[in-house]
Formats: sequence, structure tokens, C-alpha cells
Amino acid sequence: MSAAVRTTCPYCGVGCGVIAKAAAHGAPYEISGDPAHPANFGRLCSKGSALGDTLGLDGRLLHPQVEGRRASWNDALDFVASGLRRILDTHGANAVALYVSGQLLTEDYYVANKLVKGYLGTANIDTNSRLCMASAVAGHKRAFGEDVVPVSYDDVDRADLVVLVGSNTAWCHPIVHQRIVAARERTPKPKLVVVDPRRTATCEDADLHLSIRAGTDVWLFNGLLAFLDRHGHADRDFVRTYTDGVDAALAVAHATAGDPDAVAERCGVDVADLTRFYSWFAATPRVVTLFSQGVNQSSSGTDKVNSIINCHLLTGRIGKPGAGPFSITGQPNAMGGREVGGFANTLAAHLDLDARGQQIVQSFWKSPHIATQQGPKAVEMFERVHRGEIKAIWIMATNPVVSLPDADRVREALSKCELVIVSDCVASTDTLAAAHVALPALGWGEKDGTVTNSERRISRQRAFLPAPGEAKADWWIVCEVAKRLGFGDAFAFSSAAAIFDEHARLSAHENDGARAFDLGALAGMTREQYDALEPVRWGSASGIQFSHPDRRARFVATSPKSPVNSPSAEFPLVLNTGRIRDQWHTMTRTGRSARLTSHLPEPFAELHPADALLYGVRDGGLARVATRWGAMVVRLRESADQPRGSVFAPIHWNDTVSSDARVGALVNPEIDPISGEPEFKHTPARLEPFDVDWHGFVLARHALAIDGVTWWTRIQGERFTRYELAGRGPKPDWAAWARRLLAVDDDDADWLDYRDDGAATYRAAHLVDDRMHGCVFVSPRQDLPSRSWLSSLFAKTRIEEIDRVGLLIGAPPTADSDPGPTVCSCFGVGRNVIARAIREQKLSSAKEVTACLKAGGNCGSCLPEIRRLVAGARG
Amino acid sequence: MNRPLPGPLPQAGEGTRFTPWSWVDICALDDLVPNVGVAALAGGRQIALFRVVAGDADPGAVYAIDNRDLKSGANVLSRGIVGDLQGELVVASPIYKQHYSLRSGHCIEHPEHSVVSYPVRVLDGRVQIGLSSSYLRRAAKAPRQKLVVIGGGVAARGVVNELLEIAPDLYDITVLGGADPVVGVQRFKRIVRTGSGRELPYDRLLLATGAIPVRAPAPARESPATEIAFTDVQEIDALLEAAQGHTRATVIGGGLLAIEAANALLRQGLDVSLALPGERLMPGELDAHAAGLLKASLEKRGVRFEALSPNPSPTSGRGELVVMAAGIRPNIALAAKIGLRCEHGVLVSDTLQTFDPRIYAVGACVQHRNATFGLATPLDQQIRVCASHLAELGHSRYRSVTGTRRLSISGIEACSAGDIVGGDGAEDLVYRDTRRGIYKRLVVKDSRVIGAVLYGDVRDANWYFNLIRNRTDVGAQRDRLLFGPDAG
Repeated sequence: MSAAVRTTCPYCGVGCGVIAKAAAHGAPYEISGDPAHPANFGRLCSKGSALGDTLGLDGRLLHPQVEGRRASWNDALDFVASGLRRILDTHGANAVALYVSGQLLTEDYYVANKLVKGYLGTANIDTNSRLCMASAVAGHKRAFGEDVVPVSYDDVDRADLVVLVGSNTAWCHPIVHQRIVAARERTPKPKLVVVDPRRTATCEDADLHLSIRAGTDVWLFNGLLAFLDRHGHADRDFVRTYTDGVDAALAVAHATAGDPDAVAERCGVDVADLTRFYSWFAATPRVVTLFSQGVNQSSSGTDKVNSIINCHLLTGRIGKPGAGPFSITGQPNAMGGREVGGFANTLAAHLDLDARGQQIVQSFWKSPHIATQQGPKAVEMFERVHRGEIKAIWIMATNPVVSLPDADRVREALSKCELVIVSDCVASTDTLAAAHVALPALGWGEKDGTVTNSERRISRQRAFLPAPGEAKADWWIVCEVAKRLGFGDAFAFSSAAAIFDEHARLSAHENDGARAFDLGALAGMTREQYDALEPVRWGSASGIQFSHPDRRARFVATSPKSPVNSPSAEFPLVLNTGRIRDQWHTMTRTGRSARLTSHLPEPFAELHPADALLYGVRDGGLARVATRWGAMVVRLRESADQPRGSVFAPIHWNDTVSSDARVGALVNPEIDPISGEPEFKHTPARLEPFDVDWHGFVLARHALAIDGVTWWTRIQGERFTRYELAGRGPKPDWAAWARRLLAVDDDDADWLDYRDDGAATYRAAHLVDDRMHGCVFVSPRQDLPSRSWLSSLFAKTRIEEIDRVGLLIGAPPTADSDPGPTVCSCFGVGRNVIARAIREQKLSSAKEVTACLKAGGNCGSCLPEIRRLVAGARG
Repeated sequence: MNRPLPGPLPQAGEGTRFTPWSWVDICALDDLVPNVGVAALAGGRQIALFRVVAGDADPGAVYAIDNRDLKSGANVLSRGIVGDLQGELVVASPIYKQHYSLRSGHCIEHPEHSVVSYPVRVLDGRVQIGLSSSYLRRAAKAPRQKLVVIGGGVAARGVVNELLEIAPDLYDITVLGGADPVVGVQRFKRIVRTGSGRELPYDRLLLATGAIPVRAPAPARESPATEIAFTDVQEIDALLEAAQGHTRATVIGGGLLAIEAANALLRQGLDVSLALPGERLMPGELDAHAAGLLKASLEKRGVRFEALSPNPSPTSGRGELVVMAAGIRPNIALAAKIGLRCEHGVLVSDTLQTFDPRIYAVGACVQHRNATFGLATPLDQQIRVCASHLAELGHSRYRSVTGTRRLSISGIEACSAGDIVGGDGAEDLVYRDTRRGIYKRLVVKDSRVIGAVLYGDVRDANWYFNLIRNRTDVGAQRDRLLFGPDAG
């Protein structure tokens, strides 16, 4: 048995340590939290715990492809290099662009950035981190002079007040959330305030939830700044010693948000709640304001960030234990990308594209060129592709046809582009469909390098699996292309370690303390030292220093602005997008885990019940969500947690898993003028019922070709694939349709069916050697049986008589064996099981449920839901 | 057993749809102690009264049934303990503890001992029982009427026995059948004439003429074959005896009888052919699909199927046993001759009266709402209704449900009930499990099951039968119906 390998989780920016251990021969890897890793101390969330499920090679891109045909690496690389060379020579460097990803390791990122900025001589490289925390980067740079996160997770543990702004931490950064919740066991109990238009799972644990109107954050924090000033909470010494620009910021704050009543009115919250929050903040020296996409993904995202930082600067609550503004990142290595400088508006190693930066970097690289001006940020980059200014684009480890705003236009842009190169580890994404060249990259568990998490901690991602097929590390692919473009000397890296070494040396090059980002201490490591590198934070651990030339931080006067597009009569709702608990980005990895797909299996839109009534849509029904930019059809969920006038849709679903659920296509392509980050959280939208003539679902042991069905969603199950279907128009002969769908042409096949033509209902099941092979359920109403019991049959080696009787009921003939929809993904515990335990064993708290069923005992991200079940049973 | 009999506290006049009631005043409602029975004498009969009250808020309801426990013959039911049996209010007889429905008088354990129930109303705080006016008149004068029964079978015997139990003094009864056949009836004069020239006057006439075997054309045989008729599944031993010494048999018929015969002969080691007079097996009982499954199953066992063509070319019949088992049909000869309306059988109303209200008919000769009653149909319901009406105590009606029709030979189970043709407004629910040879079809109309065909799995036959008989609204459980009572 191979030894356990310590590595880092590939999901969110919390950056948890993971131990991967090969189990018995052929069995999947055992994944557990690394008790020694300071981000998580052994805990893992539902997604991390299920990593073992996602390691299979199904659907992996294993060989290079050129124009849809398999090619050798040599041919593919030659094709890429000659295509790039042709376009470079004909149209110049600005006709070539790279669009990369926070999924890349720092080493991959470094060589990609180096190639573009030093050797092609353009800054045409941007990253999907642009969609995530570009506003935080811009805010940090304005305030601190450098993109530095001035807090750590320890500060979260030590804070007496945690303010979560625009962050559903419980679902999106569960381990940080668990640390917040754990700290609240302390006496006196630290307070938790959540600022979010939606009442999310995170609010279950909060002392105060401010459901502000979407986009009014700057009013809220200007109001706080004015309140702090008015009530004498400013730390005059700190402000005088360490900051600049306080007067202008205060003037704007008082002018725009001086009156709490007006602020409360503007933000749509109760003035008593508002002043409670302000008073708590004022009275609590140890306060961490943790913010995420609700702040960043806005046309005024950078101002939102600075309005938060202003409050910390005014009170001097920064650079001290338990205090500071904390941007928590969404991707495993968004921070690594920031350090490398893989943005269109930065150069490298926290250096800007100014003359000094150019001089330092070019002298270090000894490169023929150096980028001299900013390149296009993500949205603009694809706009330039659309306009034909960029003629070659190389997309690495990301899926912009799903994730960018106005995503249909992105698809259109790629379809017109002369050369589209995509490096990815999966074989089928919406973006790969537009690629001329597909290059197989290593995935998590195969690649080797470093990542940096939200608290500036560099951790090793280590390989514990062999490279599958012909897949190669991203850095290797970039270097090979660079060599073919004639830059061999500068890209003659033999390993990730060698790249990291150069990266570390660059960060120290001509630094002399001007930049906090200095990895000089990590330069010169041997291969063995690099391999053994323990998680390490960069930057000084003590003392207060800022990176502006005068070493002072800046207040930024932030004038509140409404989101760019306001709701109208035609589009009266506001579309808000975000993540759900058990999925990650565009599902290419998490979509493979049956455990993870079972919590919220279908693409959906969430709406307040009163709005649902208003727009004629019903819980569980299909609804069409439309904006000026696009439309989609998803399942509607009514939820009183959703504020009136707002509709929430998750970002994960795409054309490979659903017929019509790419929310990116709906999002307005408005961006923050400073950070270039798109306004994902605020697009005027309209909602209408999507009437269908029939509903259905199919469970099949093998994936099926679904065509001619109006609406479908594919969901990965344990040993089966589930399809949710809905159709319009004349109904087919169901029996024939079902047999064709499940590819059963043998009349003697073990086929059961149920037909009620009057009710237009049809059900069928197909067994092979007494094992479940597939089933089909169709009805004009949504009264289809629960999928959970039928799903469980696929795991059985033999369908017994008793189960067979239930097959076409869709439920076991004896009640109580249906576990219900999954609540706890880690232990696979269903809602019915929990409800039954609460009822029968008279459990009165989530703790007792965990003790009884284990549910909630691992990552804890389902605890809010369990608490709700307990409360519901009591009520 | 939920029968459509007068429920608790009927609205005044509800019962008058059937019989002119006389409401006989019994006592004040307050005189009745809740949930304890009491006996009353009304119109010369002992009647058990029960006031059932479920709780303080429940106004309660009053029920009346005969006080006489027909199983023990004792007047004791008013002393029984009142209770609830799966939702049905019942009283337990103090003697043998069997239960009687307070609503209908139906005896749960021994349906043949069911007692009469009476309509009850409460008017101005007084409890009143409805008794038929003519009964009361006769109870006062009591010159006996004349009842003539034609037929000596199960149905006729059943009605006479029941009548003797519940109204022993009402009629002089004459049963005709067997040796001296009836040759005519003068309905205006109300006289029955027999073959020997007897003339019997009647006040009421009961026809129970039963059924006769159907004759189908036998396949032509060059050389002689033995031919016997098989009309009663009980006589299988006789059939097997007749088969001794034969090596092959041709069974003529496609129904239950024919299949039973074929199966028995096959097991006896004979080479068996089945000659179908119609297009398929059990046309009255099974639909085409189930019949196909049955045919395939029989073929698998070795039964060969032979077409009955109108002009068959003769084959050798040596050593062959020809079994005529084409089934039975209602015997309507007499009824038709005396001008009663007949179709397949003698048409009867819900009170089992024929076109001539003085003439009743029961059993295999009748046709009630398109249904006829074959060999295995339980007749107790018909008998009870008919007898209670003849006793002038009747306010119950016969519900138009055909019985379940069941085929059960080893390894083949088939069963059907009700209307399996369907037609306008009727919808089919179908379940098929080819591997296990199971086929189930329910015919549903207006949210009610009106017919069922079960093949291969007949466990739930009685449940479906009850749904059909009780006209249960199945709208809410429609999508689980085919999966049996436990799937709800």
C-alpha cells in the first residue's frame, strides 16, 4: 500500500489540508482532513470529503486533439505554436490572449504569465479570478498599496464580533464557518452578524441578520463610518500615524449616509437592527469583517471593499489580533494567481505595469519584451475576441462559456475566433465544444505544485495518482509551446520546484521591503525541501506596515452607487447568482459525485412565495427566467428566505448537465470600472411559468442519449445516472419510447410496465439478471415518486421479490424505508431518516441528531438544515 | 362491509323511495342509554335499538336491527357489546360473539346469518322505526299469502330458508321443480300450471330456474369418439373416471370449465386439445391480453389449441374423449314464454323483481344490470335481498356487481370482476411484468373501479372486488391502486 499523501483541497479558497490514502487494492482513495494543516486542523466539508468519488477517469480528456481528432503531443503542440506564431507575425502580440484560472497551481500560473508578459510582450492574460475577487484586489491596492490580506484564520477564531458581508460561509467556505461557530462556544460568546439580502444557511447561526437591499453595501458601511466618527470611536492616533485621506472619506460618508434612518430606509432594514449592528461594531475592538462575492461581484465592488476597509482603518482595527477586513477567496489558488500577477492589469510578483515594475521584472527575466500597458480584463477580453481583435485565445482550466456574464455572447465570440486552444482535464465542457485544439491537463491528485489560500498560506498540492493517458502538467504544456515559439532558454524548467524557485526569487528581486510579498526565504530550496514544504504564510506576522510609498494606508472616499441596471416593468425582479453547498463551479468535478449531487440535484431558481404567487409560478414547477441577455428554464423553489423582488439562481449548471440552465447567459455584462469584476449579483430579470405537458424521470445504469425532450437535467448517481425530464407537445407511445430510450429491443427482456392512459401515466422498469438496469416514470403532473428509494436499488446485486413489487410504485411496499432527499452528504443521511429519528427518539437538538445518526458530524454544513428540522418537529 | 342501507338518523322520508314506511314511535331519544342496546317490540317483532355516541360533542346516531341472533336463534342482540370493527359499527352477539353491522345487519363472520336492519329517525326528540305498512297490516290480520318457488337449486333453497327465518308466518310456500315441471304461468290470474296439470295460485312467484349448458358444435370425427358433457367443476372426478382408457381428449369450450377440464386431463396423462368456440379463452372473464397469457401458459404445459371451424374436415376419433365444456347460460325458457322481459337472463330490478312485480327471480337465471351470474358466483347477497323483500321487511337493494371470477389451477392464477370491457368514459390501468407472467388491469370510470382483470398475481382480488362492490372513490389513490392495498 502506498503511503498517505498530504495535499491541499482543490475547491474553495479556505485551502484545507487533505490526506489521500490508497485503500485496499482497487478501492477508491480514502480522503480525510489533515489534522496538522492550520487551515482546517483535520476537518473537511461535504465537497472535500467526497473528493474520493471524483477521481475516476470517466469523462477525462486523456489525449491531445486537433480539430476534433486525436493527435500526438508533438503534432498538437506544433499546431498550437505555428498557429500562435502565424497570428503573432500577422497581427501582433495583442491578437493573442490567455484566459486562465484560479484552479491552476502557482507554478502553472507563473509560466503562463511569464510567457505572455515577457515573451509575447502583451498583458493579454486574465483569469477567472476576475469573476471572483478582483474587487478585493483593487480595494486592497487602493487602501494598502498592495494586494495584501491583512488577517488570518486565527484572527477569525479570536474575534469578538464577526461580520459576514455577502458571504454564505456555511455553504461556500464551510470550514471557516465551522471555525466561526466553534469560536462561539467561548465565553463571552462572540457575536455574529450576517449582511446578506438572502436569508442563507449562514444566518441560522447569526445573532443578527441584516437583509439589505441588493447593492446597498456602500450606504451601510458609509453609515457605519459616519456612526463611528460621530460617536467618537475613531482611533485618532492610528489614523494620524498610519493613514491618509480620512477627511475626504468622512465627508462623503456623512454626506451620503450620515442619518441612520435614511440609511435604514435605503438599505431596506429596520433602523433598530441597523443601529444594533453599528453599536456592536463600535463597542468591539476585536472585529473581523469577512466578505466575499456579495461584495466583490458588483459594479461598485471595489468601493464596497474600501467602504469596509475604511471602517477598520478609522478604528485602527487592522494588523491586530482578532481584527481586520478579510476577503475570503473562492478558488483554491486565486491567491497564487494574484501573487504571480496573472492579471491583465498587473505585471508579476505584486508589481504593476509601470516603468519601475517593467524594469524590475524584465531585468530578472532577461526577456526580449515586457508588457507595457494593461490588457483587457475578462469580460473585455472576450469582447475583443468577439470584435476579432483577439484572434487566438488559450483557455486553461476554466469554462467561460458557462461562467462569464452574457455567456451566449462568449460562445459566439469563440465560434468566430481563428484559434481556440483549451487545456483541461475533462473531455466535455461547454467551452471545449468551441476548441480547435484540446490539450489534456493533469487534474487534482495528479498535479504537483503550490497553492495559496485566503490567509496567504502557501501549501503544497502533491500528486498521489499517476498521470492518466497522455495528460501533462499545465506548466509543461506552456513551456513546450514557449520552446516551439523560440523561447526555450527561458522555459527550460525541469520541474514545478524549479519554477517555484524562480517565482520566489522574482518576489525578492529588488524588493528591499517595498513589497510585502517576498518569498525570498523560500528560494533556493532543494527538490526534497520543496517536496516537504509545510504550509507557510508569507508576509510579516507582526507590526503594521503598508506598501504605499509613504507606508501609510489610504482612506478611499466611496460614493454609493446603485447597480448599473435597475429593475423595470419588463424585468421587475433582480437576479442574484451564487453557489450551493455541494457543488463547485461548473460541476465538472463535483458533478461526478453521487453524494454531492443528491442535496440539490436540479438547477433551480429560488423565489419568495409571495413573488411566486405574483408571477404565477409554483414550487417544484418549471420556470423560465429571462433577462435582456438570455434566458433559462429551471425548477422553481419557493423560499421565504429569499427577499421579495429577488430571484436566486446557482451558477453551476451548464449545457453538459442540463438542457437550458446556464445562468451565465443571463447575467448582465456590467463591470466594476476599477476591478473589471462583473456584476453577477444584480441583473434585472423576469420570471414566468414554463408549462409542459408531461414530467418524467429516468434512472439508468448507463448514460443515455436524451434527445427530442423539451427540458432535461442529468444527475450523477451512485452506479446510475438520473435524468429529470419535462416535455411539450404530443406525447409519444410511452412504452415504445421508454424501450427505445433504455435501448431494450428484446421482447423477452425483463421489462415491467404500468400504464394509465386516462391519467397519461406510464412507468417502466428494466432488469438484467435480476439487477436494476433502468426505470422510466412519466406523468402529466408532478406527482412522480421519490427518486431516493429507486436510486438505492442500483446498489443491490439482486432485486428481491419485495423490492420488485415496489418498482413501479417507486417506493418500497412497506413504508419507512425511503430515506428521503439527502441532507448530510458526508454520511449520506436523508431527510426522512432524520425526521423519523427526531420523532421517534424525541431528539431535541442538532447535537443529539449528530450523536444518533452521525449526520452533521463531519463538515457540519448541514447543521443549519438539521436545526431547522428539529425546530420544525417541535413546532 | 359498507352497504348502502339507511344510515344513522335518516332524513325524514328517505326510505320512502322504496316502500311506503309507517314510522312506529318507540321511545324518547333520552330514554336510550348511549352505547348500550335495548330491545323494543314493534309490529310484533323484537327489535334491538342502539344509540351510539362517540364523545361529548357527538350528537350520536340510533340504529335498529332485529333482536334475534340467527346463529343461536335467541333474541339477544340488544344485550350485545357495541364496538367498532375496522370502522364499521357492530354489535357482538352475546352467544357466539359474531358481529353484526349496526348499519346493515350484515353478519361479518357468517354472512348467511345476517339480520334485518330498519330505518330509524329521530323526530322532535322521539325515536321512530320504519316498518313496511303492508307488513304491519298483515301482522295484524295475518292470513298467509301464497308463495310459489320454481326451481330447486341453491338459490331457491337459500331464499326459502332465509324467509322462514325472518318471516316464518307470512307465506304458505310451494316449491316446484324436478319431476313435475312448470309448463305455464297465467300472470293475470296468478296461476302456475305444471306438466301434470296442477294449477297453483300465487301471491308471489319466485323464479330460480338456474342455467343450462351451452352446446358448441363438436369437431367432426370419422370414427367414433366418446363424448361427455362437463358442466360443474365439482364433478371433476367423474370426468377423470370417464377419461380412463383414453389417450387423448378434445375439450370443447374456452371458459373456466373447459380449462379446468383440460388441465385435469392433462395431469391425468392425456394428450389434450382445446377447441375454442370463440376467438379466445374466457372471453367473459379475461381481456385479450390476459387470455393470450393464459393461452401461452397452457400451451407451455402441453395443451394444443384447435380451431372450431364451421365445416371441419373429419379426423379419426379413435381413443378420443370429447368433452363438451362450453359453459352455461341462464335458463330463461319459462320466463320468456310467460312474457317476462329477458335478454341474456331474466331481467330483474335492484329488489330482484322481474318485469312483473309479483314475480321475483334469483340465481343463475337472472340478469341484473347487464350482469349474469355463473357457476362460482356467491349468491348470498341476492338471497338476502330477495328474502327480505318477500318478507316485506325489505329496504335494501341489490347492488349490481358481478362476483369475482376466478381460475386457479396449479401455477396459473387468473381472476376478474366487474365490467372488464369498459367503454365510454372508462379508463384502463395496466400493470405488466412479463418475466413473472403478471398482468393486471383495472377499469376505472368516474373515479371508481368498475372492473378488474388479474393474471398471475391475484392476491389482491378481494380488495379490488370490494372496491368495485362498494363503489369506493379511488381518485386519490389511483396511481397506487394496481399495487395493492398495502401500497397506499
